[in-house]
Amino acid sequence: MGMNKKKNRLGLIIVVVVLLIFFNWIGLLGWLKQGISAVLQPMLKSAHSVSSEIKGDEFANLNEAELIALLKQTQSEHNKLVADNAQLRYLQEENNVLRAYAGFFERSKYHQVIADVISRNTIDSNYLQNSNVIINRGSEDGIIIGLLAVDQSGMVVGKVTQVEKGIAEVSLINSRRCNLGVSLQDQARTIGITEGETGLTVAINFIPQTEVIREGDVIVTSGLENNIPRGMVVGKISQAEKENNEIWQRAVVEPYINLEDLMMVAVILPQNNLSF
Amino acid sequence: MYFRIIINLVLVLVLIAFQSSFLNLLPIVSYLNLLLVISLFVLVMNDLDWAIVWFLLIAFCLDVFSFNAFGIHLMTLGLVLIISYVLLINFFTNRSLYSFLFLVGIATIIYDASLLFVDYLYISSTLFVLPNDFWLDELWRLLANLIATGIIFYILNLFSKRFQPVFLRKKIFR
Repeated sequence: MGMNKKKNRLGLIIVVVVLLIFFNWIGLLGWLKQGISAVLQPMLKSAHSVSSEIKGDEFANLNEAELIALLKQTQSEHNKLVADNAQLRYLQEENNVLRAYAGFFERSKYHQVIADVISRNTIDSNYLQNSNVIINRGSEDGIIIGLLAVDQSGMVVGKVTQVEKGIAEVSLINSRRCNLGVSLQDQARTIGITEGETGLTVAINFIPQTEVIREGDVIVTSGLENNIPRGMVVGKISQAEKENNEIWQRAVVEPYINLEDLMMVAVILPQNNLSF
Repeated sequence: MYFRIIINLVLVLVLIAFQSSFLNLLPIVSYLNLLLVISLFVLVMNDLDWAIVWFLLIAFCLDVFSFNAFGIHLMTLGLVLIISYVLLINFFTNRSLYSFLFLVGIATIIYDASLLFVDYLYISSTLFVLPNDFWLDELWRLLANLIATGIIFYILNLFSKRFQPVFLRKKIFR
């Protein structure tokens, strides 16, 4: 190949790239993108499920002593949850009676869209340490930016941060792009905003010193933001950092769910386009 | 010709699914950018035309599934292809493992740096600050790509005569 011909070829790359961007800008590539998306989505889903299976369970590498310790811890947590559950059932029944008497307040039922996770941590997302998943539902299904994504048990997974026609990006709660107004489970007021740190942990910064926060406290969404329902469980406090000479205190939240093993999520839709 | 294009298209789609939804989920190997490594093998093993086809197909598909502005992968991968090709025909002409490792190393750094820059332009509005552990992550990415390059090089060397052996043999006895 002659030198001029080679230069022409390299020039061709620039021309093709510019043309593709231009055609996309004027909307000529919609059909092609939809076609590729339709072909790739099942492949991505299959690859994702195989990868999840290969990854195996998180307990596989623990030794016997660690497993026994884990079992004891789980049993003690289970006992506590049973006690809590009994109390909650009583409260629920009492609540139902009160609702029936009041008669004017109807319990909200969330509309939701169930979506498959087809990919995670898009190749360009690692650079700014954003932890995200791509789901196979988008604006066509009523999903908009800012909606909450939960798992099958209603635990918060993350927040919709980008939407296209047939797909959407959910930034997980340990991503720095996912910020949620949260409160303690038994309190109505917002104590702070969660922020993912390095894609690993969830922190609540700038909590007033007057708030009493203990390790193990359950953190729920406060409903401060539009389209985010109140009371959805985010996790529990695993570390509370309070220094007497500081204005604010800080807490680290441990999510209840394993964010690595998401296969499906439910995106909670706004009710009649009104905020909760 | 058309058959070859379809085969290449299918290979690209499978590779993208493998990278995006399989490798990215697993620990350690998620640092590997197989798309980049394989594309560079296509550039060295085939002619520039097929490399252009591969780079454009991969970049286009990545842009379809990217939430950044359309064209980011087309631009970054296009830049990587142009620089890699210039390096290949001017400096790394002997197609040995060493030249291949250098080529992949340089391409990895260019690709990651340009994506970081674009990511910053698109997402951040504050002062440019490198993410924590960026250099450590970059080292891991580089290492993963180089190891993959070595393995693929040896596998391809079994079937193809296009590469030079790792060590050039010197004739001692006449």
